[in-house]
Amino acid sequence: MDSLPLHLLNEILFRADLTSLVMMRCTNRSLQSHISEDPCLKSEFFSRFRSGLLYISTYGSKSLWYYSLGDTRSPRTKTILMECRILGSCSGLLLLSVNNGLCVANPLIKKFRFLNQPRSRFLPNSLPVGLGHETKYIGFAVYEIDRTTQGFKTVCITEVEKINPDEETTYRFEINAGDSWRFSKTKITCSTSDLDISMRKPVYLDGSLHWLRNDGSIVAFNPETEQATTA
Amino acid sequence: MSSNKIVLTSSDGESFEVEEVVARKLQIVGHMIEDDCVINEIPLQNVTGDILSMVIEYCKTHVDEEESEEAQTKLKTWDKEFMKKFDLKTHLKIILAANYLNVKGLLDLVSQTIADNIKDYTPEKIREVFGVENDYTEEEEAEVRKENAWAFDEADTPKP
Repeated sequence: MDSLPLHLLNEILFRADLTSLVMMRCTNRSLQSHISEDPCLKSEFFSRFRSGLLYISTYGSKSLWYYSLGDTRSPRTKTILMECRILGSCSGLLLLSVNNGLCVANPLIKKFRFLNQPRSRFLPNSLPVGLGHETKYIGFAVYEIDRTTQGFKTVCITEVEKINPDEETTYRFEINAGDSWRFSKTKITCSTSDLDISMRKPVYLDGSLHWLRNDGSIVAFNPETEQATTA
Repeated sequence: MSSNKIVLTSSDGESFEVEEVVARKLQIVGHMIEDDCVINEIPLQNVTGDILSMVIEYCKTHVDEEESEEAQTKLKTWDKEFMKKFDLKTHLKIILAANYLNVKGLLDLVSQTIADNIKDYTPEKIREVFGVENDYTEEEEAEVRKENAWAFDEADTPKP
């Protein structure tokens, strides 16, 4: 490896399988620090490790359409159990609805954790069969606490009061970080929105969950700081 | 198209006579031609004859890159077969040569080939083939492996 300049090593690492990157990290200290600290490699590594694009329908998905890691040629479809729906995914973790409860699962290490009850006032009691309309507001965000620890929060956006039903509505965010549902201190007042259901699912990007509104504006909520903004 | 011949000479004195269009695939040569500092013979100091001949073979095949899908597929197949002929040690020499001679396509190809080949390697195997020294203490190594346990889990499970 001594003879291989770093930029050429990067050429290989960029194209390497995720598992290979990890194996490389385990070989020696300088490779470990190169792989975890080289800014351009890091962004590549993290973009592959920490996120992915998984399309999830508004009512939770029952089938998966996916590319197997490193193979972008043929997408595969998989139907998951009827009792289980995927409500969201973020950074490799999945938010599932299993037997009427919410569950966060890491498919790579095959571990899962059920979110504690009591359930949200705003989530219907009969998930997933009933899948009442509030489900669609649920957002799922995973963020880094430190290099090896991840935290996650599920967030619901809920209407608190309509100041003037046709113009502005105040919204609050209900958060579950694994233990119980609670309200954020933040409230936000913005134009009332009643978008088509397919648009109500939040998108997690740059550390915030984003809900698109009727008028084209976007409500953003950062689950780490629990601050809300509109754009 | 000009059918000028150019002689490329490797570090160990081997000479290859190639058409100018082929030599231009080596961007290092292309630049020299544009800068007018070339007559007919170009010494290439950082690459040996055996590797240079492989690079030339690649360039000859890729000299007229056709757009058609069929031609592209054919080239891709050729690329794959071409890479299969060599071992990892040679791949590492080719990557250095492709970088020095500035042959973008070959650099991409060989990087991808190496990346694909090391796919199922364990850290031990990577150390061996790349000549990487293990400077972890036993505890540190256990720690870093634990952090990345998911990858080992998968590698240890036989593939279906």
